[in-house]
This record gives sequence, structure tokens and C-alpha cells, in this order.
Amino acid sequence: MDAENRIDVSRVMADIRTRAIAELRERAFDRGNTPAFADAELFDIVERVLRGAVDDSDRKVLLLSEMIAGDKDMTLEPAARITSHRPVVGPFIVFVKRRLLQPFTQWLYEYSMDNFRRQAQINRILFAAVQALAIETARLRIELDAAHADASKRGSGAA
Amino acid sequence: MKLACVVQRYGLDVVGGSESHCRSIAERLAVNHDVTVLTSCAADYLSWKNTYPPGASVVGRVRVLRFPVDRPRDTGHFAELNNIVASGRATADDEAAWFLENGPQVPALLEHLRAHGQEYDRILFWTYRYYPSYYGVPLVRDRAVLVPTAEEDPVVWLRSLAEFFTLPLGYVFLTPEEAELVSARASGPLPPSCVIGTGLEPVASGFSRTDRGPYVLYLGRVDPNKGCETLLRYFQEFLDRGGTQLKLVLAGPVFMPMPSHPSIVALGFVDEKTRAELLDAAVALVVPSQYESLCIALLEGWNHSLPALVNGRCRVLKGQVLRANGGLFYNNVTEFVTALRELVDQPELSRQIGRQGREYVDQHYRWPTVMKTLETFLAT
Repeated sequence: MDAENRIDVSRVMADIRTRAIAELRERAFDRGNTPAFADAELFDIVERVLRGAVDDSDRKVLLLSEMIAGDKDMTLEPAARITSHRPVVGPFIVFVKRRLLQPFTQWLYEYSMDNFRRQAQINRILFAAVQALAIETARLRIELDAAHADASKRGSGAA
Repeated sequence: MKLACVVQRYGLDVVGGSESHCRSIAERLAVNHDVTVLTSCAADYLSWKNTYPPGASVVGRVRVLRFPVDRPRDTGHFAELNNIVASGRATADDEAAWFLENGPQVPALLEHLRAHGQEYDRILFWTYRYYPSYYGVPLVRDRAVLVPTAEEDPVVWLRSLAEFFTLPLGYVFLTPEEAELVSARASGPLPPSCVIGTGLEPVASGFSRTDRGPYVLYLGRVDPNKGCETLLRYFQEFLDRGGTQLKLVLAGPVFMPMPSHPSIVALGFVDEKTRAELLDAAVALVVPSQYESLCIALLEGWNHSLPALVNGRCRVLKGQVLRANGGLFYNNVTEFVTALRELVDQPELSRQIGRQGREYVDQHYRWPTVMKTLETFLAT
């Protein structure tokens, strides 16, 4: 193959991504009625932070979900466990639920499960977005504190 | 060498990614080695109903030993366990129950491994998720070589797999990304491994053709789990944003409702000849799946010098496309629309990317290359 003609896909993708971001900004600015996105530089930063959050949502450990882990009131329980607490007739009740009732309600169950899964995925993205924003805020705070300390040191030095 | 290949189903009429991979490898290993396939009597992967007679038979060049399935899958209970696993909240008992119910439950196969496992030099296990591998590998771990065919789905995150993945003597992976995934899941260092993918026979290349399209092609099961729902939405968005003239052709059995749209054509199952003709004449192959351990359709597309457009959220697909320089990828609808426009509007770029894909397949995915890598690995 002619090496001169060889195409580096990552370069093509960088160009596509630039154009896609520009189109996204246009849509978000024009149709989303978000005046702040008139500033392309600002939009790039916002897009990068949110894109990072979407990518990070695949990570298995997110700080916010760890902080509320185990709290039953804040945890989605999408999967239904067919059980019974009754020691003697329990197995019969489970049998009836699984064999007779479940087949009739399966369609509703699957529909709900699908939506629960999507909701769980959106929650993860939102948790990741909050985490990314918290990190940005923390960094800014550290920089701001350092700048204040620097300014007051210079101020006291001048005095 | 005396080799055994353990797989959940085996037969000329058995269709399935790992089963086909196992058969292709077993037949080629049998040219130079004494190969026995250890499998179940089942043909159907949903029920695991016994179909083939138990005992020894010969399929192609390979001796096959079939073991009866003790109990068919309880589909209701399995669906319930699947949902628990998918929720990420499975307990150790749930996980054990899942592997048992996933089946096929062939205790006689495990008994054979206990009694005769030491007679084989190497025992290759296909797919970690099924009963024969999950319960079989620990019995013969000093000679077990696992072909995990692992994807980034919820099952791979089951806690019991952390230790399981450290047990085999060696690994045969389909892609470097699969190796990374299993390595990340294992509780200790992984044993030696090789990456082989699969082999393809060369086809008369269509890269000089200039009369491609006007359609993009999807190959395989048309199923929401394969990313097809999202693909249909993205493609309609592409049309809405001015991408007229182009059609989306889906070739494969349909397992979801299809929109009635003149630019979306679902052909259902197609034979090999039609499949090859579709691959020869398309503008690009689109692969929307998020979970893949190796996408054979992608390699087939490259074999026909077809550029690819793949889901960038799937590490395996993105990795393959970047290594081959054989396609573009997308992470959202705007990137999908922009990348597809690029492939349609820049035919020379599109052809060159397709040619590079073909070159990549020529270098890495021809059977002599694949078998040389595997045989060298098994001999060490």
C-alpha cells in the first residue's frame, strides 16, 4: 500500500470531533437559548467537563454513589427477588409467584426493568457530572486560596 | 499433543460466536494434534434441551464427546437472576445460582474432567460464563487454557470471577482490550496469554469499486442489546439533518420493532452470497454494539475493504478501528452524523480507510497467522 496515501484515523477523528463540537455549540446556543454558549472557549470547557463525566460514568466507583451506598431509601432496586419469609409454606408461595403470577406480569416487569436500567445509567452520568464539577470547584478554590495568600503576603511585605 | 476443547454446544448446525470460534479452531488444531471436543447434548442455548445423542461421534476431523444436560434451564428463574446480576446487587448466593442456572448443567462432563483430565496435555475452555467452563477450569487448572470471550457486560463484574480469572494455566484472548478487561477483573496477576482473534479466508477485494452505495450496512442480529435501537434513532437524525439519498440496510434476524421508513430496510436473515454482495456494494459498515469481545462482522467488512463506523463507547471496537486505521467512531449523535457524512461525502477517504482495514486483516486475521500464534502458545 502506498504509504503516502495512508490515512491516520485519529487525525480524521480529531477533525470530526472539532466539527461535531461546533455543531453541538450551534444547536445548544441557537436552539437551546443559552447565551453563555456564544463564547466558544467557554463552551469548549463546558463540553470537555461534561464529556469527561459521561466517559467516567463507566467507572465502577463514583464518590457520590459510594457515599450513599447501602442507604435503602436512596438506592434503586430494579430487580425483584421472588422470596417468602414463611418457613413452611414459603417454597409453595415462591412456586406460585414464579410459575403462576410472574408469567402474567412479565411484560410489565420487563418494561419497568428496562426503564429502571436507563434511569440507573442516567443517575451514574449525573453522579459523574457532579463529581467532575466538584473537582473543578475544588481546584478553583485551591487556586483562589493560594492567590489570596500570595496577595496578602505581598500586601504585608509592601507594608 | 493431546488436546481437549470444552464448549457449551458443538455441531455443524450450531450458530453462535464462541461455538463457531471453537469449531474453527478445533478443526484446524486437529490437523496436527489429537483433538477431542467435550460438550453437551444441547443445540438450543435458551433451553439447553438435549438434542444430540450422548457419547462419542465424529464431526469433521474432530472427535466429539457429548454429555447429557441434567436439567434444562428454568427460564423464569434465570430471567429473575439475570435481572439481579444486571442490577449490580448480586450476592455470592445469587452469583452461584446464576452460573448454575445459566447452564448447560452437565455434571458428567465435570466427572470426565476429574477422571480423565490428566490425560490431556492442554484443555481449552470457551467462554467463562457457562457451566462447563466455570465449574470445569478449577478441576484441571494446571492444564486449562481459557478463551474467555469476555465483554464489558454486567456479568464480568461478578465478584466470584475475581478469583476464577486467576485459575487457568493460560489465556487465549480475542483482542488486547479483552486481555485488559480480564486483567482488571482478576484478583491477582494473569497467567501467560496470547491474542489471536479469529481467521478469515481472503475474498476477492472490492476496493477498486467506485459504485458503492448508496447505503450503509448493519450485519447481525437486529436487537436492542446490539445497539440497534440507538442506531435507528441516530440514522433518522442523520436523515433529518440533511443526510438524504442514503439508506440503512440491516441484514440479520430481527428481534425488535422496526420503524416504517423508506430509508431503513430490514432484510432479515440473508445467505452467504447475499451477505458478500451487500458487503461489496455498501458505503460503510456500521457497528453500534457497546459490548463486544471481538466483532467478526467488522473483520468481514474489512475483508471486503469496507470502511467501518463503530460505537466509540465500546473499547474493543474503538481499539480495533484505531489499530487498523480502518474506520471512524462516534460517542454521540452529532459525532455519528458528522462521521457518517464524512464517509459518504469523501469517497476517496472512505475507500482508503477500507483498504487499510483490508490490509490489517491480511496482516493479523488469516488462518495461518492465527494458528501459528496459537500453536506456539500451546506448545510452551
